[in-house]
Amino acid sequence: MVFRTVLLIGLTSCIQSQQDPEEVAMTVGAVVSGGPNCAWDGTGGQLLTGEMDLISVASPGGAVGHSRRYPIGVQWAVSAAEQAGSEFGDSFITLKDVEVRLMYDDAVVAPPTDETRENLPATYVVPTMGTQDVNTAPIAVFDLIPTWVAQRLALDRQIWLDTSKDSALGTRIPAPGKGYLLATEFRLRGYNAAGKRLVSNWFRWVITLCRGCRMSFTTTPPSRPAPGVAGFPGHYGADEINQQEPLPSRPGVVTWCSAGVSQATFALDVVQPSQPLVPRTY
Amino acid sequence: MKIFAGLLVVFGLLGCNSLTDEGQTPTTTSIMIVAAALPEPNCGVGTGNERLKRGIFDIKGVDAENTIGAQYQTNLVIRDQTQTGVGSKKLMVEYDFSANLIQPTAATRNLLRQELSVPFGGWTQGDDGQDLLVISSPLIPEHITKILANDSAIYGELKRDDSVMNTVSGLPGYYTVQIKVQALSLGLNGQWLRSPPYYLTIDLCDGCLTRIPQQLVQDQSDATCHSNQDRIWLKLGYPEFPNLSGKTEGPSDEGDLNMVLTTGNSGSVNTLGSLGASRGGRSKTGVWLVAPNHDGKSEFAFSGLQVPDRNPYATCGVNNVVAGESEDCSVPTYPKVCEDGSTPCDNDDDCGGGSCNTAQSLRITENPGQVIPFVCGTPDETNTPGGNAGGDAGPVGDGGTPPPQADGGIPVVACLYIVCADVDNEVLEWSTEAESWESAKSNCTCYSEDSDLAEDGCPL
Repeated sequence: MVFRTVLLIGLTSCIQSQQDPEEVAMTVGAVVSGGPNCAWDGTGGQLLTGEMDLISVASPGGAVGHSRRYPIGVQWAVSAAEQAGSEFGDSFITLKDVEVRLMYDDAVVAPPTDETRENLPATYVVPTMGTQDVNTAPIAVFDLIPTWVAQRLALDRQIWLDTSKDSALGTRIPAPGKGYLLATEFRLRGYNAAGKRLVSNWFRWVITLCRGCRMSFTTTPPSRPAPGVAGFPGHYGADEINQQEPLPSRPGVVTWCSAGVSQATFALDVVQPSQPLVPRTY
Repeated sequence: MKIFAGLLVVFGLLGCNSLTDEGQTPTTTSIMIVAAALPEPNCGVGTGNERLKRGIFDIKGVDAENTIGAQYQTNLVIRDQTQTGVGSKKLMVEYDFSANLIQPTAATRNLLRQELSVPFGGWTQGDDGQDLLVISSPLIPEHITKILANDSAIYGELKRDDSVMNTVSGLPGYYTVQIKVQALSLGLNGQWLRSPPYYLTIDLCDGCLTRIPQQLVQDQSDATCHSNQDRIWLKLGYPEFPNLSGKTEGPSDEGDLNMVLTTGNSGSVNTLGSLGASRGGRSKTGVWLVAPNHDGKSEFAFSGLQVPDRNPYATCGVNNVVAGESEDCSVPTYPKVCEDGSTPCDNDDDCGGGSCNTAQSLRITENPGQVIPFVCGTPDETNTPGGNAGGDAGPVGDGGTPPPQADGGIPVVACLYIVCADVDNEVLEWSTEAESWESAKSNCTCYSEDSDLAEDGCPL
């Protein structure tokens, strides 16, 4: 009898140790811009809305490019209860990943099709990095929408209808001015130095999906360039885009964190060169 | 029975222990990885350096043997209070690929299943009052880079066979690796002390830190510590461009059938490395004869630039022009003509089997059907008829027949040339000002023996 009791106590304590609830020990405060250099060094400021261009992510002839993702940087802080004690003690937090879920219930228009929802998991996990550090405001950077998710969203009929328009030829073509509001929620996950699992609050971030609002190609429709073809693509600001000349001043270098994604830095990304710069003909 | 129950307890606890993630359980907080730091362009790094928030590792050029020796170097900010005085330390590294839809091949996963031990050194203990120190170590060493770069699944995801899109000019493929790293330090009691885990997220790519076409212009020198990782923005600052301009001083002597074109480069870099230079070893500088109206000339408009047809009437190849210097080449003074003496030509093919030769003079078109040979130069004012008295010979095309030379030779008229550098646009200069046709014309200059004509008649 005694041994049975010992056995039960041992197993019960074992199960309890495996089922510790995740403690909300972090607070995501804001989304911040990656800035012109994707450094998330604070120079870009805070963002209030997100925008992502899905043009040519998935096309009948194949996608243009090998990636289209939404890298996001979020400012987070340690919850007050966790701040007690030494900053390098057991409560020191190290991030590991982020849990993301796409919210369809409160879609402004019709939600994505059933096929899309069935092809996407209820939540997915993307890696991140960082610690609470010292003397610096921690910022976690991760792919809120990885390429494989973007591809599925781009294939969705409802999103396509909401980001396209009828053309004179009777077909649907991308409508850069239109958008589809996609609500996302995410929370950071990590460990403290004692090995305890910690999470942050769920944070909501709304993204306007569009086609052609942030990205332009040097050919219409976008096409893959021939190998070795000269080109010089990049970012353009709003003032540069309004220039009347064929090309404005030299663009900023395309940065990985804002190719087709709003980081509040550039108005347009000209990517995928397929012809040389405007040739000078005398 | 008691023995059986005891075994059950033991096995139960063992099973419980096996469920515990030992890797997440820190041995001590005496040694902790606090952050990953970005080095300065000169590779200097301190505990206060900017933090790495996402790593990029460009494996372009890594072949089956990783002969270029690529590896991902990481600077970790560590807090060490072990006070061992012993330099024996290492990092325990684990790779996780679960962020990707496609996992590496089974062979790669097997090779990387075990923890990898990466040594590091550089310090034994912190100075008094200094909690944080920086260590530098390759978290993706050469042999691991070789494994990852040659994994067929990763190869496919990165589209390593597509060199066009995998640059900053396209939308490169990425493959995400999350690295779990723990620092180990030998304690004073001879036991290893393990830090809590720290996680790095690194995107592998094939060429995402490079730009094509690389032969377009030379990149600025790298302002980054490791050219194949992380700091894309410093390394990919826009290159400096050459700034070419063509000019001429006309024939050295009146009557010379050739004249010199000078191509100057006032930019800060050579044209070496340009597309034109690499393809043909040169770009071209061309010359137009704008005035007087001459045989073969027809007007065409180009953003206000009125130049003769068959433009330019002559070009010469220009070798690589060093920054701040110039290069001369020689072109005919007059447009070439076929053997009939009147048909303009560039080469023999234009003459239907005949030869295309340098003209001895200019055939000025006066009235329809009336073509008079002239030469370019400074008109003899003493022989200028009343209409042109006062010393301004003016272009012949504006009326009147220029007088013959006093010695009865071919009459001399003031001509107006335009010389433009890089007419074939091989160098692909990029103006620092707004790109426009105005700036495009900055490669051109006018020349005339008559300064007034050069000033008033120049269409630039």
